[in-house]
Formats: sequence, C-alpha cells, structure tokens
Amino acid sequence: MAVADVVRSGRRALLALVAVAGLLLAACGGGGGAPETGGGASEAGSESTGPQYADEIRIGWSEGKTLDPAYFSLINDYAIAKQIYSGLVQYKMGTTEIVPDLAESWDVSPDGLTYTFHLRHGVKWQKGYGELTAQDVVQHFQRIMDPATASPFAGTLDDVASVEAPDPYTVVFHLKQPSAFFLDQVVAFREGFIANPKAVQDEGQDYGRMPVGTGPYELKEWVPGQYILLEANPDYYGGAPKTKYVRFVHIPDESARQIALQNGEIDVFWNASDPKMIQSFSNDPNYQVYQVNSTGIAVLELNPKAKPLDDVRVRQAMAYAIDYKAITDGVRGGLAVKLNTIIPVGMFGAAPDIQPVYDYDPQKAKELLREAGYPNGFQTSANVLNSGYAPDMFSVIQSNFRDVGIDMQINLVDSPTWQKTLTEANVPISVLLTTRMEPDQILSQFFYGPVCSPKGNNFPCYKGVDDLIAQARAELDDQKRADLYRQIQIKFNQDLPAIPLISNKNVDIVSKRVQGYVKGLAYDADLTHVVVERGR
Amino acid sequence: MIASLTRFFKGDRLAIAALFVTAAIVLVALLAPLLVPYDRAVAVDTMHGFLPPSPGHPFGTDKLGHDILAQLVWGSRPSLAVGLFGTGLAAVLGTAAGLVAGFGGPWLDAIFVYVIDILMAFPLLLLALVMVAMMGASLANIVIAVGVSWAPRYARLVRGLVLELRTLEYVQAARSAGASTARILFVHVLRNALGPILVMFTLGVASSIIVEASLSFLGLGPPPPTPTWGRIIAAGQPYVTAAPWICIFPGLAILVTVLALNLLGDGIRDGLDPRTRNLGRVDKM
Repeated sequence: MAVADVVRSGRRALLALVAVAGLLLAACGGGGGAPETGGGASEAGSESTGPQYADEIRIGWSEGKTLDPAYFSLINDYAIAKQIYSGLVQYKMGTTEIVPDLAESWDVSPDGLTYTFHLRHGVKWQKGYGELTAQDVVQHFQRIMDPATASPFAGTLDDVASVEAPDPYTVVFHLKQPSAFFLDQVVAFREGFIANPKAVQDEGQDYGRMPVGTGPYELKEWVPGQYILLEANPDYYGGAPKTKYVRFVHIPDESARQIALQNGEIDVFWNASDPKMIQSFSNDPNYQVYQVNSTGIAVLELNPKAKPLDDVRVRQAMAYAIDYKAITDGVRGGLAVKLNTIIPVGMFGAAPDIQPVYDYDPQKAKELLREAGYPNGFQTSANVLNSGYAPDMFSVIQSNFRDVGIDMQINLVDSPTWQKTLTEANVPISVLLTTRMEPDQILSQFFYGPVCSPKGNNFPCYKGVDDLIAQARAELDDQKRADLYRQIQIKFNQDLPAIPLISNKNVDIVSKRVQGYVKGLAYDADLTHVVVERGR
Repeated sequence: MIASLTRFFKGDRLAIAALFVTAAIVLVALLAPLLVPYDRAVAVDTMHGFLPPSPGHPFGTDKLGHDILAQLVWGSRPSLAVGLFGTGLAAVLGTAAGLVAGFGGPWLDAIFVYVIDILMAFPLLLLALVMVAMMGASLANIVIAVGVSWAPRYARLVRGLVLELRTLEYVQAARSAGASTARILFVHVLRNALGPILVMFTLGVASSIIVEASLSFLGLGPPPPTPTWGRIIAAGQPYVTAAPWICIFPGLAILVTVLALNLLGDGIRDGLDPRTRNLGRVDKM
C-alpha cells in the first residue's frame, strides 16, 4: 500500500511541475496587462459630461501601529494622524515655516522663557467631545511629560517647567531655559498633535485605535491589516474637507501598491521608493509624481563596544570605503543626495561645506586600516531593516567593505527587531533611518549622552557634543545657533560615531484623476482640498 | 555505462536525459569556483545595472549590477545544498521515526502516527517558513527547517513499509532463526525499504529546492550577499516588465532542475518496480 502511495506521488510530479510553471508565470508576469487598465479608467472618466467626483480618496500605504500621539514610532502612523489631529502651530505644507493652527497667535517673553498661545474660539472636538479649551491642551502636554505615560517624546519637552491655562483660550508654557526650537516641539508633528484628554481616559489602552482630535478628518473605522477609513469632520475650523472619505488601504508590498494604482484600486501611492518604478510613472501621462527633498536621513550606526569599531581610524576607513554615488544614483536612482554631515541640507544649521567630510576613497580606507593595525581587515555584522531600500543599500556597502577587506555579515530583520536593535545597541552595526524637522531632534534623540542605550536611541552612546547641543538649544540668536551647529558637525565628523550616508527625497505617485493634492516634507499631505474625478 | 543505465531505466530515455541534466547541475554547483569567480556574482557595480543580455553578460545584470549568469552558477549551491542536505536530514529523521513507530508496539505507534498526522496537516512551505522565521534565516537553519518539515512524510512511508514487511515470511523466518530486532530492522526491513525511500528522496530534493527558492523569494533565504535563485527572482520581480531577464533566467533554472529531478525520480521508481519490468519506455501521461 505504501509503495502504491509513492507511485501515486510520483505521478503527481508532473502536476507539481505545472504548478511550478504557473508560479513562475505569476511571479514574472504580474504587471502584464496593468497599463491598459489605467488608460481605460481615464477614458471612461472623459465620457461623462462634467467632472464628477468620487466621495472617497483611496491611498495605498502600509499600516502602522497606533494613532496615539504619545506613542508614534512610525511615519506610517504620522501620515494619518496629520489628518485627524491639529497642533498649536503647524508647518506650512512643504516647508519648515511655522504657521498658526489651533493657536491663532502667540507671544514670546523677551527672556524667551514664557510662550503664550491664544487659541481659536469655537474649535470642536470630533465625536461629540465638545469644544476645545486651553485646559485640554494643558492636560495633553502634561500627559506627554508624565513619566507614567512613558512617551518616547517626553525628552523633547525637557525644557518645559510648567504649562497652565489662565483662561479657556490661553495656554502658557514656562520654560526652564530658553529653547530655540520650542515651537518645533509643540508643532503639529508627533507629540504636538493634541489628543482629547477625556477620550484618552475613556478609551484607556484602546485610545491608539480610537483617536479623537480636532483635524479635518475623524476616524470612522480601522480594520487591522485591511484599511483605515476616515470621515470628513464637518466642524473642522478650516471648513469641512472637499471629499467625504479617505480610505488608507494597507498594501505593504510596493509592487502590489504599484499594481493597485495601475488597476485603479487606489488613487494615491504613498511613499514610493523604487526609482525605476517611479521613472516609469513619470513617463506616463496618467500619473503625477510628487517629489520633495525630505528631511529623512540614513546613517550607518557604529557600536564602539564592538572592537575594532572603537578605533576612530577604523570608522574613518569605513566612511572612506563607501561608494556614496552607487547608493544615491544606483540604489536610489537619484532619489537621494549624499549626506556630508549629520544635519541634512534644507534643515536649519546644515553645513555641508565643513571639513572633514568623507568621500569615496578605497585607497585611503586601506591605508587607515593598515595604520590601525588591521591590514587584512576584520569581520563584523549588521542588523538591517528588511524592507525599503535598506537591503540594497547594504548590499552596496557590504561590497564596498569587502573591497577594503572588511567582511560584514548582513542580518535582515523585521521592523520591531530593528527598532529594538537601535535601542539595545546589541550588534556592531545598524542603520538609523529617521525623519526629523530640525537638528536638535536628530542630535538630542540619537547622539546625546543622556539617551545612551538602553535609555534611548543613542546607539553609539556618543557624548562628544552634549555641551554644544545644550548650548545650541538655549541660543536664541539664529546666527550664533547656526555657528554652534557648525561646530557640532565638525566635531561629529572628527569623532565619527556614525557615518552619515544619504538624505532622501520622498515620492508620492498620484493618479491624474486626483486634483488639489499638496505634499508635505515629512511623508504627509494636505488632503482637505483634494477631489478625485470619478473613474470608470 | 549507457547500456546499464538503459537497462535500469528500462529504456526510459527521458529519465536518462534527466539523470544527465541533474548531473550537469550538480557539477556546475561543485565546480562554481572554476567556472566564475565569486566576486563576479556578488560584486556590486551600480553603474552597470539593468543591462540586457549581451556577450559580456549573457543573462544580463540586475539592479545592483550583479551578473545574472554568475549569480545563477553560485546560486545553484544553496539550492542544491538545501535540496540534498535538507532532504537527506528528512530521510534520516523520518526513517528513524518510521522504524520506531513500525516496530515499537501499538502505543508508540499510535503516538507517532498522531504526531506525524499533526505535522502533515501543515503545508510544507508554511511549516518551513515558521521555523526559519523563528530560528533566523541562515543556510543551516533552512536545511534544518526543510529536514524537519519533510521528515513526517518519510516517517509515514517507512512506517507503512515496516508494517507491510514485518509480516512477510522471510522476516518471520529471520525472527524465528533468532535474529535480533536491530538485525531485522537494518538488514531485512531497511534494505527492502531503500528503493521507495530513494524515489521519495529524489522527488523530495525537487520540492526542497522549490521551498528554498520560495523562502529566498520571501526574504527568508540565506543572508546576503549569498546569491540564491529565489532571491534573484525576488530582486527582479518589481522590474518584470522593464527588465524581464532578471527573473526569467533563475525561473528557468528552477524549472529545469525541478523537472529533471522529477523525471529522474519517476525513472528510478519505475526502474525499481518489478511490476513494470520489460515494459519499455513508460508512458508518462
């Protein structure tokens, strides 16, 4: 009987083969008929007499974790939070200029220690939570600062001595010392999104999935792993958004997102990273490609606890060994520029012209290794995020390192493991991928003594610019502050605790049917004026 | 040699061809360092990415400028390593379990059968995927995962054979002649079970190669830069319309290898099966 079993399973071999062939076809022929579908949709649209608008904007993106501003960790969350919440002030879309949001105006005392915000009247919370008062704002920030909340952003509000609400429309912050970036700390970004304190209390643990804000859209439904549906907030102080619903469709795989866009299943492809694909969309009149120089950076993190990375000559050798052009042009297809210093161009204080900077020079790398006593290189390993461009970027770095004798093993890890790696600093090498709007956030969250692992994300436990960071934060004169950041960048590049790699451009691909799309710097967008012409 | 092969495969020319193709692939894997330098397979040269097939790069290059042909040659190593060692491990584990179940009495048998049934309820790829995800992606772990996932199939096969064989007269005769259980197991039972195990092994190698390629495709293959067929396909998948050569060639490599191994397995099965003796070429369909 058992022998007969084998005979039958052998007969199945051919069937299995057919299945393999099918799989290959599926894997290799996925995108085949898609472009026709895209074209068909727009033709159907032009048949109708006037423009007709859909009641929904569909955005393909990858699901995050929480919509509670106290605990954001992923840009994917932030992009949605921007629709749900407002802040006291906000960045003008596409710039780092600060403009009013919930606060119509604000005053700063001459000594820079007191900030007084004058709130808009009649701003309504979503879901019937009544009118926004100054007390709500105070409670929100107190919650972020409360150690019991354990918010990763508590540190950014270190300078705040107290917050108070003298009347329902006035919020006053008292600072311990002047802070040049105080407005950037309460801006509508991360912890600056003001969550309804009562809802936070009502929902408890579940608040991250039932957020209540004052933004243009409110959360209607979150089906984990499928979509997040937002509904227009009719009471939004800026006027109800033009399109009634926004549906964020969870499509983690980029090529699947590409096909969904071509098939007309989504209108907006958020955060495209593959240059070749972006180029094919740029050449297609059915799509608009939005590209901004984001302040998103990639930095090669080096752990001095792992010998020989404690030797600055070795770290310099590694910086000289990397072919940055192969990353910016090859891996990123021109969607990135080389990052000379830890502060990206476009951000306050960036000084790409300082010395030393490290350019591709494998010969110099070998010399430095020889000098450091490693003429034959050494072995090391890296934990690398397994998605986006990081694996390809590390293939290049690995190959560059091999050329100078450094044998770097790559472990591709998922996002939670990677985040843990950054906090625990338990491997020789990792990569920091982050988007910040001002230099203090980069420095004080990733290269500041008090946030050495495991207390924070200072992977190399770098303490070399602690004093300068504090000085720059307290310096209110722009010129002097810029000068301090210049010194920081020089010192940083001399000590080289980590190797700045690239700063990215951020790209959204939007169907031609979509009008009024405004893209922000930090992977976000203003959707309030967006309309989508009805396809098909 | 050809004559004896023809005799063994009973004139099944397809199986003989499959044997040569398989041998050629194994040779390529063994001789990879002589055929193409490793550097050519892993060196990054982004200025020469996405090159279509040309005399310099017969199968073209991928996004990072890797030569696809060199990657295919070196990629045959992990594929075959997982195929041979993973399946070998499965055969050893499964056979041992099958022998114990078949000879260990009703209680032990019942327990083994339950465990085997439970494990077989999981799709092969899923089981391997979970194990690799838990243990970490490395070649050794993939071999273990494939071995453990496949073992229940061997265990069931061997257990069935043992139950069948132990009732046969010559085993009864050996037993009454005073042979020990170990001797009966290894000399009488296992030797007679080797044929079916070998057939299953050949077919298993083919499936294991697909499992390895699938794991690599899903990003759970051996860590980079180790080139594997599955990873080349995964790397080429976003560019399937713009640069189809990146995934066509590794796809063909998997297809040819798996086809050859399956035909070879069929041939061996027919060769070992006394009932198909002297029938000439066996009709595959």
